[in-house]
Amino acid sequence: MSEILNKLHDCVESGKVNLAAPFPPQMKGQPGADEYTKEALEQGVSPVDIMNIALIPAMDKVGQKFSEHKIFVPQMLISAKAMNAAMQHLKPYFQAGEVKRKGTFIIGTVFGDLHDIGKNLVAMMIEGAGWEVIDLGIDVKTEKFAEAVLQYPGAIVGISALLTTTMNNMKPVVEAIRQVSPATKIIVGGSPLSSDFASSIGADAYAKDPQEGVRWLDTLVA
Amino acid sequence: MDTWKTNFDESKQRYLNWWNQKGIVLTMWEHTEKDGAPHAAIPPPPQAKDIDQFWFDPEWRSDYLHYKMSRYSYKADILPVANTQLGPGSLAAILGAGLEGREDTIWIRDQKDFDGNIIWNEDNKWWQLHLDLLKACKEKANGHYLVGCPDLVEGLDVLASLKGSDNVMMDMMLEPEMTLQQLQAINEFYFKVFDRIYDSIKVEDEMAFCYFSIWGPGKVSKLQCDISIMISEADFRTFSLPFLQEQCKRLDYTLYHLDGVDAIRHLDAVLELENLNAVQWTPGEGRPQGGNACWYDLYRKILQKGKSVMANWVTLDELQPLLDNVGNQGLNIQVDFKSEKEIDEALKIIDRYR
Repeated sequence: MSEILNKLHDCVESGKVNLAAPFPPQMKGQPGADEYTKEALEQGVSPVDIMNIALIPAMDKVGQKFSEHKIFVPQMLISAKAMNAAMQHLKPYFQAGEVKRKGTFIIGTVFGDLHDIGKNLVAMMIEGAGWEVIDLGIDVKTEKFAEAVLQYPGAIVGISALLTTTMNNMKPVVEAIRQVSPATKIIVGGSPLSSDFASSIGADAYAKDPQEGVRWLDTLVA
Repeated sequence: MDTWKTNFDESKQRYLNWWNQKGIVLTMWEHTEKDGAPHAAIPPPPQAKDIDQFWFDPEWRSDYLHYKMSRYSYKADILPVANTQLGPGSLAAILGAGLEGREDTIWIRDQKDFDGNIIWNEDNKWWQLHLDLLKACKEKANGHYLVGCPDLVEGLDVLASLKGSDNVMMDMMLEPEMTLQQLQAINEFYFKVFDRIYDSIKVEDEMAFCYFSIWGPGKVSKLQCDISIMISEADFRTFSLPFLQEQCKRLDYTLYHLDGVDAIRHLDAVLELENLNAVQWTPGEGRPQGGNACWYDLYRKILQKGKSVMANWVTLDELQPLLDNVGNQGLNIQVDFKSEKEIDEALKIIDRYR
């Protein structure tokens, strides 16, 4: 890995957003993901390499450390923020088709449930893994999921729920999606869920944490 | 107090003992209907017009609670407490967040225009609702039952309700000093709000708290930091523990609500809280509930550290093994009773250990 990509990788992994960011304290006063991405592009590093060599592996490490309880949600959020700072510089390349996403992922918290943090974390990690994320928000009605599937053909759907009462609302959502697009892959997640529950409602997969979701999505494009 | 709970003095003594790591309290989350005639012939209110009236109309809701209280059983140590909760964390609404009533609960909505300042405006409509609801309930209760303190919540959970969990956690990293100042401000308002509520609901300087059915002489509260499942032990000690400690010192009796297996990593810190009386354990959705043998070690650890235990959603067949394994000192056991017959069955078991 080139030195600049190495530095960018470290910034994303440790959550150093930009020069002004006070976190992490040991990197105070140093450039962050924002500056290093700009510098890398100026040096002629390809946006594809920036994504594939620095950003995606860095977020993969973050997800891994989160799964192993070595870091927690704040550290994950700050890494996602650093990733986002880098992505701002890459936007034009995505728009021009020079850098391709792995696919599109539609995510939302099921109707009746207003929890957003778990859904947001999954969205950030999946975006960080190279997917385009369409976030439908919280308390998402069945019809909205079905409309989104029609709007983004080929997209994969993620449904989140945090309560035993609202997890039961997932089944009608899965059924509605299957009705408009039988081949659409669906993954579910949330504290009270299990893989058995996912199977029972007809979902294709269950992820116990964001990283597991990323890994499953990657199997679909491998 | 002309209470509908005929054995209230006995239960009060049991609560006092329990707060001090002695004896057993047998109660339930909320209530079940009594057998036979109601305590008083209270007519039911008309059907609520809509969900907003159900939760947020003080007159309608106090009528409804009055009717329900007249029909509840207060056997064992079940408390005669009207549940006036206005959402899990209504202090956030008092400080500027929103409340949204749904069929089964009230949700707290982030304050969209939160500017970083923690302000308590006494004209706030949700604060006025707290006062109006408690006043209406107290008038109707007329000493037959207590009016519970709503689930105000405190600290990081309230800050998260004001500006969103993501923002709180980001600020813990990027703006730690500002976050601590905001938490200090929340704590100061917590005590002001709590004192005002205490003054309006106390009966003979005693009070009860809605969530987890707790009673005590003086000021009683449930404490929590649900957001702790998402943060490190170090961050919990920095951003939550000092404020919880202040609450434990200033309130007379405190119960910490430990919510979820991911919160267990903070238990050592919680058990260091001076003056904390008890710890309540919520295993979380989809897990074995409070009477399951897998939690015995957790309960023993809490008791060994000099705090009492509250075990919730214990089933009748779990009672005896729980007492055999955890002991009969400092246990508050909550069973989801469906009838007075079940309460009697549980009492038969419990009485052997008293």
